[in-house]
Amino acid sequence: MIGNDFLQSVGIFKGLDENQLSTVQGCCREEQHKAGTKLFGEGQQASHLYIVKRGQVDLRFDLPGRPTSEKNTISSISEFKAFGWSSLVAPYKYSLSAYCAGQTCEVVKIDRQCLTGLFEEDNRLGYLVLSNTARVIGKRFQKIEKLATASPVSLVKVIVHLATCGIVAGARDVMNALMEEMNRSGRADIKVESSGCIGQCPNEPNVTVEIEGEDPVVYQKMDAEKMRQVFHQHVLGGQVQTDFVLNAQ
Amino acid sequence: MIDLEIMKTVEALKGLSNDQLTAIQKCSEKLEFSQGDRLFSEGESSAHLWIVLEGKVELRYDRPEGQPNPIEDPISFISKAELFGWSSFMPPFEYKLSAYGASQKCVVVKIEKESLENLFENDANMGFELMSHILRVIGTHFYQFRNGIAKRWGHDIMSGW
Repeated sequence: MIGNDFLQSVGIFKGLDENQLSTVQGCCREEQHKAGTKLFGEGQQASHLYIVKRGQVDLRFDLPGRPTSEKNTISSISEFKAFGWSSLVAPYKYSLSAYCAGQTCEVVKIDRQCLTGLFEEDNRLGYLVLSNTARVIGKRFQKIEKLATASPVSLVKVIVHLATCGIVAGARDVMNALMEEMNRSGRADIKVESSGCIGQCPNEPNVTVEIEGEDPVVYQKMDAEKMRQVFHQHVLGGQVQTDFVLNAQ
Repeated sequence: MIDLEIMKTVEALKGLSNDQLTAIQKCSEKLEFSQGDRLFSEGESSAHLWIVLEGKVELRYDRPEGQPNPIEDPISFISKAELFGWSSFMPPFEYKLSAYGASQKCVVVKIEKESLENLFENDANMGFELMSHILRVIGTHFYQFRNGIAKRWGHDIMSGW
């Protein structure tokens, strides 16, 4: 049995009074699912809004003709959180697939027609739930946006050669400067790695920039300032900084 | 002052009575822009909801050099009687795109979000009608965004998340 206490703790019902929560109860049904069970698929008619009562539900970006994968999880929904907001928004089709994660999941399933019927009868209830829903979508939007700007495969890699000889020559300062610029740029898709000596001890610190489709470029005698210049001009701007390139003939 | 008859043609406001439209009128401002004028920038605090009355508005990413757009071809044009600036109703309450005048003359209505929310508190019917519409617009953008990501990354890359 779903109580008002439970519904009161759910963000999507924030602001509803006892009477309104009681009417929502009438549209709710509880279900239990085993780990890995698909609760609904992307593109399916969104007939229910869901709330996680116990356990966790993963929302995934499933691809046609491919098995589902945890790697494609956009958002993990924990207890008291709602999902399946597409049931409240035309064209009423789920935009992601939902899977029970962990051992078992207990969910509360709310019938869309029943709930929207309540909205029509009590516009204040409708207004509050829809406003709260906009907030849920906003948070999901932020997550999907963050994933979108981070490329799944790093097309750009910056390697700082941090062997003892490199460190003695100042490679740590170079790495620190690189990390500062990385943080400022917000480019989560660029991969930064450290690596060993490349046999160019007199020309250290060395930095290698690898951009997909182009030959790797090794820079020599780097310092923090040169690193910042290489990051902005080459890594972000695509212009190799020839003055610092190692001529390993 | 914005003509009530013009307000009635706006899709988002169609279900509202004359009294409700008059209340919205009071927290609205009519502005005129030329082609290329910026109405607001991506990342700015989204304190207003906007409606196009005449001409067109272009919405596009306006990121600093070197920062990628989340999806390709994010450009969309908002025409007469259409609403934009819906991010004023969802966290982090910042505009997701920049808006520019896209016609020689571009007349828009700028509605203060805070005043609008106060109206909704006192008139649940207005709040419900308008939020239903805003949510439809947000939902459409979410689908477009989701599909844009699929297009950008390609199915093979996406399965490697």
